[in-house]
Amino acid sequence: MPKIKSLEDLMKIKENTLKNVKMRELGKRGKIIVAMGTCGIAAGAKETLNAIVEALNESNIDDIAVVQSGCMGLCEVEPTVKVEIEGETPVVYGHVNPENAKKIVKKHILAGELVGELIVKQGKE
Amino acid sequence: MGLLTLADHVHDIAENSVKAGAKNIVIEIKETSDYFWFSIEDDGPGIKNVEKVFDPFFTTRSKKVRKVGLGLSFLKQAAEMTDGYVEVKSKLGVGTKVLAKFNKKHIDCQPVGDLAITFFSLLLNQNVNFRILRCRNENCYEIETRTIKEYFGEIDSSKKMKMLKDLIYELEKDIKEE
Ligand SMILES: Nc1ncnc2c1ncn2[C@@H]1O[C@H](COP(=O)(O)OP(=O)(O)OP(=O)(O)O)[C@@H](O)[C@H]1O
Ligand SMILES: [Mg+2]
Repeated sequence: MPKIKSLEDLMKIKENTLKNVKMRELGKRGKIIVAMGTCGIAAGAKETLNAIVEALNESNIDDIAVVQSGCMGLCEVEPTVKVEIEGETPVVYGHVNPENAKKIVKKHILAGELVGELIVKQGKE
Repeated sequence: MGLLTLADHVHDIAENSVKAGAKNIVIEIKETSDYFWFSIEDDGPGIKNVEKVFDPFFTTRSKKVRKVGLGLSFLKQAAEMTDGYVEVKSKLGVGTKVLAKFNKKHIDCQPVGDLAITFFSLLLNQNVNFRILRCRNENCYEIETRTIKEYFGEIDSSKKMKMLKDLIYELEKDIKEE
């Protein structure tokens, strides 16, 4: 007989921990967009996403949304990540491996400084 | 360049369904020591030219962004290298189903890769209803967008993302150890 475990079973077990996370709904001051098209996936964009989640969580940053987009058309420099902060010019970073992703969170998101060497595009289009 | 793991293929094919505007996507994965089989079914608009779908130059994406459509041709190439297969069934206005089988024992079979992060990444598209059934031999786990919404609401903070991610890794780890 196949055994099926469900996410629901697991969540029931952890209900108490879950309650704590559920409460706080904070406003967002910006977002990080990870390009998840075929070339992004091929270049390791999932590992990048993973690293971003870990870095935001470690630094207790809850006012930045993380979203995914299709291919940004910059295949040669994937994985790419776009940082959009309210009142700032959007910045696209290229070659964002997990290590660079952590750097972007630490510098751009936390300290408000651009990570110059990784920028591939700045501005709306 | 190409997709390197079977998890990447699953991700990429499911992303096609998301991009096509599907509301419901069902992903089934059955893995044994011999094979890796998956099926991804959506209720999107369907594909007009199914016969052209494996052609690397067939894409309906904006030509400014994308000149080639590589996802399905990568999948076909990778599956057939292992003496496996890919099948695409599509009906306009009804939806699309992609099935693929890889023979894991074949020397050219790509590694399975990280399915947990694949599922996590897909599930962040909360406007789409996912149902994921993942089996390894006799052991399976199931994830539904509905349950995630029930327990987490919107996945709008890094705490929730981290927790969801860890839960999926736990499910995946469990079926690997049993
Ligand atoms: N689930 C689906 N529903 C509707 N149309 C689809 C679906 N999957 C694929 N298609 C169509 O088939 C085309 C080819 O898909 P394929 O994944 O090979 O390339 P692509 O998605 O266009 O580009 P890439 O995957 O390289 O980013 C798509 O452009 C789209 O028109
Ligand atoms: Mg595609």
